[in-house]
Amino acid sequence: MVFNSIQFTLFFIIVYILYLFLNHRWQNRMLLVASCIFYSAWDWRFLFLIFVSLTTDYLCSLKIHASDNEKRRKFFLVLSILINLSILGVFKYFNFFVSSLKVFLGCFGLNIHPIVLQIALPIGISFYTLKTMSYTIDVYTRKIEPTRSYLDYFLFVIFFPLLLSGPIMRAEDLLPQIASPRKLRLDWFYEGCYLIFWGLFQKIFIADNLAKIVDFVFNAPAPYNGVQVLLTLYAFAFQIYCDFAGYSNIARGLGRCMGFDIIINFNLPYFATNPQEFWKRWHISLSTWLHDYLYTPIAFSKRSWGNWGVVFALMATFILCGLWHGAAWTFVIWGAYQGMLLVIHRFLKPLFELISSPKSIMNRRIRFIIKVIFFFHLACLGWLIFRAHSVGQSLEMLQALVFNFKFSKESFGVILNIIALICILLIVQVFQFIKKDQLFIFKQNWMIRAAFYYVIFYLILIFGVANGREFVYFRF
Amino acid sequence: MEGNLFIFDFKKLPKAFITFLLLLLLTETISSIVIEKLPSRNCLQRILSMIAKDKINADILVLGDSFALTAFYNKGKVFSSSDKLMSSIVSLATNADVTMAGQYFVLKRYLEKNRPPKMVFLISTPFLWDFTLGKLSDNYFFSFFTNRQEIRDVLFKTKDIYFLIRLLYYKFLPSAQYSLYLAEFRAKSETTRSRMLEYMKDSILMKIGLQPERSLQEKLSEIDRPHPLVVMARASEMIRPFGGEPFAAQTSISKEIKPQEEEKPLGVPNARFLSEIEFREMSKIKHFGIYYFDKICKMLREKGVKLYYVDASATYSLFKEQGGYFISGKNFVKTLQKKTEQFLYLEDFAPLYFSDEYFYDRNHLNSLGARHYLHIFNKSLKNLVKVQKN
Amino acid sequence: MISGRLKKVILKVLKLNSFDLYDETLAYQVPGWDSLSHVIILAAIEKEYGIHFRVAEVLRLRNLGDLQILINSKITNNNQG
Repeated sequence: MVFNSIQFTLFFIIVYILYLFLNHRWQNRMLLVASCIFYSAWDWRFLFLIFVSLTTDYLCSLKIHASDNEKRRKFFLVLSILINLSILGVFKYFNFFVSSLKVFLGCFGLNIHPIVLQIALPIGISFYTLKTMSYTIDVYTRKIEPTRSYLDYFLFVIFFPLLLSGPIMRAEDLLPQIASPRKLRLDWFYEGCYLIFWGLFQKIFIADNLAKIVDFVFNAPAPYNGVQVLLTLYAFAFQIYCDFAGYSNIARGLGRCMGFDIIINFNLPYFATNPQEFWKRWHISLSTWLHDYLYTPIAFSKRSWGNWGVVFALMATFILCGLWHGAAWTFVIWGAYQGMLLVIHRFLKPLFELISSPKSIMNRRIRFIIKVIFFFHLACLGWLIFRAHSVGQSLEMLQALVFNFKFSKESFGVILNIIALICILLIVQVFQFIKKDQLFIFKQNWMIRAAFYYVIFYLILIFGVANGREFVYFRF
Repeated sequence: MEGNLFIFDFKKLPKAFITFLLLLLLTETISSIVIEKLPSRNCLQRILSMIAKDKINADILVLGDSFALTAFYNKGKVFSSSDKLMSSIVSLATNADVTMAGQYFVLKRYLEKNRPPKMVFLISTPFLWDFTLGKLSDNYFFSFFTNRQEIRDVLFKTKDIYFLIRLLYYKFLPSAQYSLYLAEFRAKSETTRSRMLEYMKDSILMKIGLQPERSLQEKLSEIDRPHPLVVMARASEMIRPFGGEPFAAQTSISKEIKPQEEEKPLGVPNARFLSEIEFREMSKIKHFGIYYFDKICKMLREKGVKLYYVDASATYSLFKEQGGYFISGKNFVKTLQKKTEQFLYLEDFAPLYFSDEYFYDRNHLNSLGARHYLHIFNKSLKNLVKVQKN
Repeated sequence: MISGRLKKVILKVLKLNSFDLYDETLAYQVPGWDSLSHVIILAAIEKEYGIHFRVAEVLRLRNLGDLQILINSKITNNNQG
């Protein structure tokens, strides 16, 4: 069940009522059962898979911790990672690998007819795999001690608000919250409700409506119109942001109602002025995971290469990041593009710093806005390859952007449509950015809030897309 | 044992939330009044409001889904017949989204307000029998659930809590229905949108008395173009359009239509009669459809009305998709007859495979196909009237 | 307590004239110390002290205090071995 469905609403109401009346131990047990039910609503057979993955890591971690023998510790670490990656590899990447191999061999005139696995992608597999691997690695590096409570660990992995598409929380952040009793506060409840409400708005009103514009263009065949492509990219940039950030907000809100502190996953990413800042604001839990467990080890092992080591590590990390998003070349190329932006930025940064900052506040602000707009367009270019069905389609669209940039009557309609959908978001986010507080609206006086809730509620009710599309990120 | 600490601060009353709720209450009260005054947004509502307002008293009724809409596009067309008894045919066809329950409720309301017709024809397609509550659009299926008894009836039959929740949602938040108007508007093609707006404008003007009401005959005989509230299947549903217009202008009302040549049906390809289980799995027919069909039969039986089950015609692509339904055409009917009250089966139509050029898309006739279908229908009707006389 | 020697290395790599470094200081609180220069700084520290870090040890570092402790333990090991 997706968050924006009647089923989930009923589910959460029941879970929450039970939660309020149970004591800590029973709360955890109930949440565990509820999370299993939540996951089974998608496909109960994959419950077995998640069980295998987390049990492996639980046991391996205990073994690692119990031993001081370096070889033995490494053995269990490698075992755990291998099992997790194999599960991920088979279910997510097998067909991609096989079809790419077929194309590759085909270039040499070799024809193979490999078996194609007819298996569905288990929901959330990319997320929970990263979660469990981070746990094992942290135990190995002696950053944390493994938990003795199997049930606590089970809940840590399968906790339903985070199950489908994150945020990817670390054991050191979430396990203590599971292990110790949580205080329920009314103001946290209100905050949680606000976050859920705002997240639903982002998802049901903004993302799902933008999706119609985006899908229309991407499902159509070539040739494309450059203006149409550009507008579609703008629409997609906000669609994917609202879809994912909306989901993360709902997850945070759900957690808040229950007394959990779920980390912020998005921090106004399109206000970034360079790729480095972007990745500190976009999908924060993923980028920190990549930084800690991929980039740092790779960069460190290649430190003798100096700057080239950094380049290598960045490219490798972001290509894998792309691959993580999906089993297709478009995602890999997107990852490489992001990596390349970071590399270029790293080497241009000292040059930028030579340019002096303007004196007046007005000029500084203008400079800032220009940087934001410029980087936003770089991000949109990335979204082009990310969203395209194939590399071929993205090339055709690029061609249209450059050679077929013509305004038409329909363009104005689309522009108005997009602006109507995102104007409230933009206004709210400008305030959030200036005040550096994502709960800015929530802290205003009651009249402003009442009016805000009223407008948002009716926008969702009348213009929201029902029978919601599934969140963009959970088929990952 | 430590309980949960819910620290309630009475000083911090949720003023914003309470204000919001009050505004909500006010808006919804206004909306519930406004919605009632709004014109019909789809063909189902239109038919229901027509039934509620006018005495129709037709001799022959046609029930069915959008296929029947395309086939009987001349609503209220007077078929040529020397018999004065059979002087009026009215189509109450809506669309498959209303399911067999919808056909039942429309007919029920009709019979509450009008004298029973002589005959009722149900044009059956596989879609009419397919019922999955979760897939139905709120736009149609909830349009007629204003009657508590009807709601209870469907609720007990389906035992579906989500149905109840959706019903309550539209009942307590009438503003949600604005989104249904939007959905209807979006579903129309560009050309029909302007006509829909025109239609709604006219309806509002009529309601407030600035324009004279149309007569029943005028309402029924919209022959020139398809009614703007009729939605054809959307191109996005990957139906191959075979060409031709969905409806055609019919120059004269009462002339019998004759196609250019006598078209023979393509015949029944490899018909085999399936076992009941096989067949039901293949054709997605659910008990729900059979239950309401049975109610239709019983209701008509009580009123002494003859019910005729008529097959819709199909294209090969539809046949391939809904094979089970078509292959066991006669068998399905036999199965039905075992389960429901007696009804009559018009074998002339069973089953008809027209060539693709008669179709607008895979399951709707174009103007040529409609003429052809009606030609066959007319012939059958004449025979029936003759038989009845004798 | 961050040693003067360590401070010198860090400030040199980051091209800073002066900046106060304490045990609780997090890496990214230091201007210019980001994930990209992190590895460069660690490599410079290795060179300066003639020690060798392992990946697992590096991943465990939370703040400068941890780093200093790690360096001290490496020096002690070197002296002993």
